Amino acid sequence: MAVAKFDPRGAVTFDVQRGAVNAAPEERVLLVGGDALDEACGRLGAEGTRALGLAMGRAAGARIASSLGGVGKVREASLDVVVTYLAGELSVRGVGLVTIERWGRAMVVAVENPACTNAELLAAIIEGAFGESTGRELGTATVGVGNPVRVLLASPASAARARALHEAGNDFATVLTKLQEGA
Amino acid sequence: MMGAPETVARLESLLARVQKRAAEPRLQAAAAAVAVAPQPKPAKPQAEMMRPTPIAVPAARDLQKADESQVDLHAEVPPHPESSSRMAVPLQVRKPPESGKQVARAPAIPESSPEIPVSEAALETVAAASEVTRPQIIDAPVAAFVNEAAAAPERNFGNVLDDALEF
Repeated sequence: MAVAKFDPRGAVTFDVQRGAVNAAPEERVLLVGGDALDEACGRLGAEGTRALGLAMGRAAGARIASSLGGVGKVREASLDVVVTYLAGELSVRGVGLVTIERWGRAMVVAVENPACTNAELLAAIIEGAFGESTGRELGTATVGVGNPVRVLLASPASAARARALHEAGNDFATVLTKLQEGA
Repeated sequence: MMGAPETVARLESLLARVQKRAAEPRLQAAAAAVAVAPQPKPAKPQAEMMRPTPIAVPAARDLQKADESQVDLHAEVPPHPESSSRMAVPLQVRKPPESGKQVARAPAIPESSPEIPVSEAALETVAAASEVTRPQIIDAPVAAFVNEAAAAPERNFGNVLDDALEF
């Protein structure tokens, strides 16, 4: 099956005359450095970082849903198509290079070359993007840090368990195994 | 005093010669010229010397003409060190309706946004990066999960997401 190509042309426009950058006709954006984001997240705390990330991710998710014809169409599309658009949209926004790993039923989003080092911000961006584009309530947990950052996409309850296992020092493979075993 | 009469006589003779020469026309004209020569001006007070020199400005009527005809003045902008071309930026002189002052507007910028070229290679990179990755080197317990997923028939994203959220 041919995979729909994500076309980044025109995804971001620079209105130099008005001093504005737009990621969509109604979405004005501001170019912020990754270091500044990291510093802001350090001061915002967990709640503020999550709120910021969700807002950023929802904007991307809304764009994905719009591109594919709505939330229903996103659900009907193949995984390849959705991932193509998700990775393209987040790449255009500079979040990083996104791939999806499927470990059994578990879905892990890997972000290579992330724009910032704050993994919780990235997890919230992923959560916002998937939640907004699919209309589903879901949870995320960082299960691997560094490059790539790995974010588990699961139910809110499973995500909370995964977060606790990761914070206990388990690597992402161990976290997934223990979740599968019902730990 | 010795020799005083001779001295007085010599002085009287000298005085007579001077008076005679002064009466000549050439010397009288020179004296008159000295009398009408311009005198050096007194130094200006310090405060006056520090007054800014007035700079010629266009008359108001000239600016009004510019307003009516919307004359564009083109200023040459020196190229940025990293730039490879020069750009002529138009400057517009306009008169605000409320006040009589003239203002120079910021350089006008073309209406359209600059085109950002996207190469085919960049598109391919995005497409390649967005493929689903199935790790090959994995721990044994997780390998079982992968086999399970590989055996499952192709389903839409909604089904896959449902599975993930039941995990």
